[in-house]
Amino acid sequence: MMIVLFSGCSTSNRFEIYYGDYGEGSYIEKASIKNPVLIETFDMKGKVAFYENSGYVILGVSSFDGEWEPRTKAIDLGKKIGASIIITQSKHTGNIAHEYSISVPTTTTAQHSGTIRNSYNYGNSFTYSGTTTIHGSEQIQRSYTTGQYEQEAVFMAKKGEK
Amino acid sequence: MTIIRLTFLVLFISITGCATIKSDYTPLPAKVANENTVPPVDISFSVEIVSEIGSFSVIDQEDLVPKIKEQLRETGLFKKIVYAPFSKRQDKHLHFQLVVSGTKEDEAQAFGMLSGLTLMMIPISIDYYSDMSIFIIESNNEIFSAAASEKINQILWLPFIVVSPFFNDYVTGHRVVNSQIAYLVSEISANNIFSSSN
Repeated sequence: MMIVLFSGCSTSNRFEIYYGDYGEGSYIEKASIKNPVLIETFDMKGKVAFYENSGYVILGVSSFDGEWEPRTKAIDLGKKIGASIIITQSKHTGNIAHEYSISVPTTTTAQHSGTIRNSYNYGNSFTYSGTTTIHGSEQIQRSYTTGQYEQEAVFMAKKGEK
Repeated sequence: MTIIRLTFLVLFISITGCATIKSDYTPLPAKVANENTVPPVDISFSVEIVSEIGSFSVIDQEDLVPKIKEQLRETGLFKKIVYAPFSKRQDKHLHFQLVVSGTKEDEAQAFGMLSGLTLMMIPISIDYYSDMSIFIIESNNEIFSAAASEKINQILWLPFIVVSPFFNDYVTGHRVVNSQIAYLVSEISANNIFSSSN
């Protein structure tokens, strides 16, 4: 039986798209066994220097601007390249407003009633009543904002881990 | 009476016919033997929630603050733990940041509508991400930071009505942030952050 699955998942990984390799691939094997340790920081230089002094080397760097990229994607790339530590930093640079509308069904009901007479005002008169229902739709405008960020990730592995 | 029952049934199906499942990106908390060699310190902490998906109501600041305070208290590392906005922080301050990203509210509504129109017969998968970080600030310098990231997959499909009481947005969302808080707080203990600053 075929199951159709609609998916709202983004498959692109901007950490991978913008990744630049430092050519330190000989360090990768042991680190690829488990998930790399993720560190978010405001002090990228300080953190990288700390780990370099602790025997780690930079495998590569990824740097880009735009919407927030989930850090699980950095972990996915880190596992692929054998990183044991991923240091990320982001700087908020602005917001983008998004607007969209949703269509909501509406129903309008009108009551009618009246009297019908002949034009000479004699004879019988008739009364009538009824309802008219109009089905339509109404557009509701909604909006939200998303942030824009400068994002950077440094992928590191322990020197001589292989 | 039948109409009321039918209305409740439809509401129940449309609200609960989904399963929200987390991946296992967040590490387990480090097991640290609390030797009490370091005198407890006074700290303040703040919480920031950033939604990159539009409206987000599964977790708010008032959910996170007591959870974090409880976890911090359990470490035995801190004497006075007070919540304070970042701008009113004390000398030793812990800033927790949660960024929620993934499927935006307009995309989610479109998928929700598609799911409703097909009476949830077609499985629809939506991704969300929870990135939680901790920044420890002392004398205006970042002395430690750590992060945990998690992917959360929500599947809208009628057969999942059976598991939805245990795997809905609320339950899974709170499970994810609980595990992230536990991991990040355990990292403070594991790295002896305040041992040299007394």
